[in-house]
Amino acid sequence: MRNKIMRCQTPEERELSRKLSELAGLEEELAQRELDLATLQAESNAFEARYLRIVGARYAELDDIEAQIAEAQRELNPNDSKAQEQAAQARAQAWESAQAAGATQEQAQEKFKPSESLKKLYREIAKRIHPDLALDEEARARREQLMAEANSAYEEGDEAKLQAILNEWESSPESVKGEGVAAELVRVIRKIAQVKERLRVIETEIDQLEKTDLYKLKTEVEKAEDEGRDLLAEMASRVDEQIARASNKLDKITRRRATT
Amino acid sequence: MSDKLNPDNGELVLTSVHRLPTKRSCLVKRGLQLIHELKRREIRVLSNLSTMGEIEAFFPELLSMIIQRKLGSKFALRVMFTSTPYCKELLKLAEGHVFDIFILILNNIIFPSEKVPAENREKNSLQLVTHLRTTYRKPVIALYGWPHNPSYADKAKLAGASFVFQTPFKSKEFEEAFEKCLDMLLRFDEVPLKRLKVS
Repeated sequence: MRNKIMRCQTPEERELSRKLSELAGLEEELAQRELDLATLQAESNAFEARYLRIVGARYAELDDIEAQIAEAQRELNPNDSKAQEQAAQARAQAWESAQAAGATQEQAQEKFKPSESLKKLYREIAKRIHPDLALDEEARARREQLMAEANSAYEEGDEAKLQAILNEWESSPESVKGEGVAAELVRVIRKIAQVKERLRVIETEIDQLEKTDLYKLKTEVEKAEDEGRDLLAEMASRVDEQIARASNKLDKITRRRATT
Repeated sequence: MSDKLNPDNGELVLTSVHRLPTKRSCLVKRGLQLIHELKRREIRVLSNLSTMGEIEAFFPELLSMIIQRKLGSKFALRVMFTSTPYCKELLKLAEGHVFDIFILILNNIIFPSEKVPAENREKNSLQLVTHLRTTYRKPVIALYGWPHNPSYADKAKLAGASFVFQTPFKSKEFEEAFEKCLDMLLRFDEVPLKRLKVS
């Protein structure tokens, strides 16, 4: 008869096991919420670029014509200080609109549509590399840098780059876990606290993002799309109409200026 | 990734991720205001339909139905229907308010002098069509019932009517014409002016 020697878990080992399980669940949740946030931000950025290209550029054109009108009126009334002020304001507005509309022209992307494999890869990276899982400042900085790279790659839909980031992490010494139950337990407890804090931040960030004008605009356009309407095109037409009116006004003022 | 909650008030300390630069946020705000304008938009119809008792209630209902069908419920434009049988009042209304579509029953417009011969009333109606088209550049749907004058439809078109119907006409044809007017309005197209001629 052979006696099996069973070693009972010590209380700290049992606690560690429980905490590890809790941490694993939280890490899953964190990875998913980071993915949700990154997707929301990437969608907002893509929508913003689309909006600025279709509607923003037209507003910039309109503001430029309005500025020309104000400048022409200033020339017609050289002693009118109000006309001087209005011309300066209109030109400043036109400059700002042109800057804003031109800012995202180059990176304009029609729509952000991440593939399932891209999402899975990002979730995996967020789970393993998340900065809030670091235990010291040096490790945190390294993780933050990698996570920023991962965010850019995700927004660009660059799956190969995401895979490279994950591979790099997997082969780094940081991915090796330390030893000793007590030390491990402390590490895990701290990680749990950090993850919970980050989850709270993500929820607030998503909430704030959903309150922005850009998000409201995006939601309106998407609702209209569901009803078969191209709201951005309608808005563009409306601004085109305003541009046509402003151009007519400018023509009249220019002709008047030529005769005086 | 470096966003944090302020421990004093629990508010989020944002990074630049979703704080749009002021210049861009101004353009976004203008877009949002424009959407509200588009949603509030009404289709304003001016007509002399009130001379035809039973049609009076039917037309606004029909136009609302067409708009609902075309645009769905969320963005449905409201129809503001204004009507008067008197030419003078019609002109005054058109001058004082913005209308999107004119619907005229040409043989039912009451001109200042009712003693004028029918021939002149026909001519006056065409002049009214031309006046509305050239002044406001909005679609005019003309309905008439002068069977003795078969060339009247052509004359009304030359006078500027976008669509002309001789009574009795099929409701479906009228609905199609109204939908075309809506298309023009929703695209904010200026209704093209043809060469107008009142004969």
